[in-house]
Amino acid sequence: MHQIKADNLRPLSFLGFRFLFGKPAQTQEAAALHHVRHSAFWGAVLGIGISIVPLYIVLFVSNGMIQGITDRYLETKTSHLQLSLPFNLNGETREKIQQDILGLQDVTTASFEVDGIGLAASSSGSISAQIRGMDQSVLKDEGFTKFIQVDDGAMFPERQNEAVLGRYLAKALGVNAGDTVTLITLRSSGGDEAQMLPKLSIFRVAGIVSSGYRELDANWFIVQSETALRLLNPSTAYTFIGIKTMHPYGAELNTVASEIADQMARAGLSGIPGVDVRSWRDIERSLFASFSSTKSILILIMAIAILVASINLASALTTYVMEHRTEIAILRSFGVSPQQTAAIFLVGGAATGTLGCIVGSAVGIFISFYINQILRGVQAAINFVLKLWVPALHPMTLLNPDYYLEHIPIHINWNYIIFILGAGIVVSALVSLVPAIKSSHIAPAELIRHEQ
Amino acid sequence: MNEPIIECKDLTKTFSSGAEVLRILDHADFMLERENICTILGPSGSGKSTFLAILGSLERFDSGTVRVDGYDLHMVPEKSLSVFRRNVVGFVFQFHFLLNDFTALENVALPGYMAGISRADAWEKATKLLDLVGLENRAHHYPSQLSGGERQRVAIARALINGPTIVLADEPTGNLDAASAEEVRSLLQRLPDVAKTTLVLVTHDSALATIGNTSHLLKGGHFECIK
Ligand SMILES: Nc1ncnc2c1ncn2[C@@H]1O[C@H](COP(=O)(O)OP(=O)(O)OP(=O)(O)O)[C@@H](O)[C@H]1O
Ligand SMILES: [Mg+2]
Repeated sequence: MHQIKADNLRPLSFLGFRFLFGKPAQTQEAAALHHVRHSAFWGAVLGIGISIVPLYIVLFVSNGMIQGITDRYLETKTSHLQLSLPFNLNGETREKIQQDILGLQDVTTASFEVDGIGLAASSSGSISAQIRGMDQSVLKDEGFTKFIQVDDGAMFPERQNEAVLGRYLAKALGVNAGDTVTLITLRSSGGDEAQMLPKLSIFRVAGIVSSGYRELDANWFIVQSETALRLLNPSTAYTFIGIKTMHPYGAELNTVASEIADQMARAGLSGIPGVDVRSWRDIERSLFASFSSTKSILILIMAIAILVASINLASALTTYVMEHRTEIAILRSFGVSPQQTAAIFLVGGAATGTLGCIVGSAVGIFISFYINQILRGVQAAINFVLKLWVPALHPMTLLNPDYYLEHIPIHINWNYIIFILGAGIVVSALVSLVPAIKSSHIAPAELIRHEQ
Repeated sequence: MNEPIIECKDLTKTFSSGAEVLRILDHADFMLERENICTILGPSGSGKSTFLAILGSLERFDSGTVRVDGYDLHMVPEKSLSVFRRNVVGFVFQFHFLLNDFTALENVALPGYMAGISRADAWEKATKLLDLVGLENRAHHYPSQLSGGERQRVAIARALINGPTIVLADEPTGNLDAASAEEVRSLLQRLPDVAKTTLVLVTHDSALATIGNTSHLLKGGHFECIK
């Protein structure tokens, strides 16, 4: 009984490759003719390659974006863990808690912060401000200093009457370092029939900073924590210790969180309203849920594109089989079994798909790796052309910095590459089943009544 | 050696197109001994090609028995027919049917390589066969670079690669000019000697028909021995 043995695969692939990619060219004209004849296959290779390229770019870019945005949130704003505290907790207790937390394993920094809302005003207008009352100790936080860029002046206010503004807040107010801004906050009047009274304070702009992600830092109004405690309303302000650890993405974070909760319980502070430990995953949950669902939709669209390319491959192969009935019948007449003819097209189809995947992967990884340079180049080119047409035009940006990072951090993830390559090869082998089965139905009797 | 290599009894083959039933072979008997050349003659449409296809298992038949080199073709399951074709028969058609993307040498070697002979052995064997058909210096030419007669000789070499006991040739000179036909004729005539095969030859070419030790006329669904 005949079976496809392993040693039978070599002649099959010899045949399959020659069928699909043509003979080694003898002459220039033959080579040219050949390209035309087999262009369907190079077309299929290209189709698969081209459909794979955006998959890599989308994956690496969206991952890089998400990672970059997450890092910025964690390092410049949310911290890895937050221990919320009552507004009027006395300074000594607070410092004691801070010291205890710093003593825990894995914890790198613990900074006190008071957040609230205010209205910032200058001669050019007013805009709502997100007040962040912070401790000087954040300057020792490497995560914070790594992501904060200083456009002008200092990174942190040195005096009580100084503020550091987010880049876009400063722009909206039309101020530079050294200028003054007015901050309006609401403060209860005190006493039994407490009344909300606006409180005006004047700040000198000590510096202008950016985190590289506008969503995050657009309205930052950074002051010293003591200042914030004086200006903000106890009932609406949020007071917490921001804690950084060595492994923000690992399971260790939960261990640290429960240790802090234990410490609070031992200190008899756990029952007090407003005292709570939360991780960044809880705090920014909705933000990251929307990131990952956007990514899933993109990947789904890309997967459909690959499927379409694979179907193109199947139809190119099927057409090929139909156009080469005679050649297949010849093989059958000299004893090539239907399974062997099917295997020729399976091998050929899988090889075509593999080639396409490899080419597409190489190009996709290359483009992803240099995406920042490429985007900048394209942007510069577009702006150059636009400037020629409309000299007065404001230069455009491809990725709106309101929603995207200005620099996308790309990390090449080998798991994705292996997965995409593997899936591409499996899918092209699967779709090659159609032409393979078709080829196995061609009967050699056709040769007898063949008309030349 | 008197044991017949081909033995057909009561062989019936019909084609039905619509309501009409064409009876191509009607209880035909046929017998041939080893290492002979047998020519089959007959008017166009009489079923000569159909008969060759049946002997080579390319076509099935309705009833009767067909025994070829020990294989009872009615009993061989569809799956094993490839083995039969590979080991027992070699085909030569009116049209050369070489694969255009392969050189003469590759065309000859391919059936051997596909049958499981190692690449080196298949290529070596093919070289010898090209030598046999007088085309050793055209081994690396593609079919498009060969003349009609040369292509047909390559096709004959290809038919011999797996050492068949029977070569079935259907009008092998039908497309050739007189000189090429003569080359093919002298080659076919030597086959039983040099390749130890039996040759069943369908032809309209009267010169070619003379090489047969025996000759049959197919007419009205029956064979009539005329030599
Ligand atoms: N698949 C088929 N369906 C219907 N009729 C067929 C089929 N194949 C062959 N025939 C008919 O069977 C008859 C015999 O055909 P065959 O090709 O065997 O003749 P032949 O003797 O080889 O003729 P020629 O000398 O012209 O080659 C013809 O009348 C042909 O039309
Ligand atoms: Mg015929």
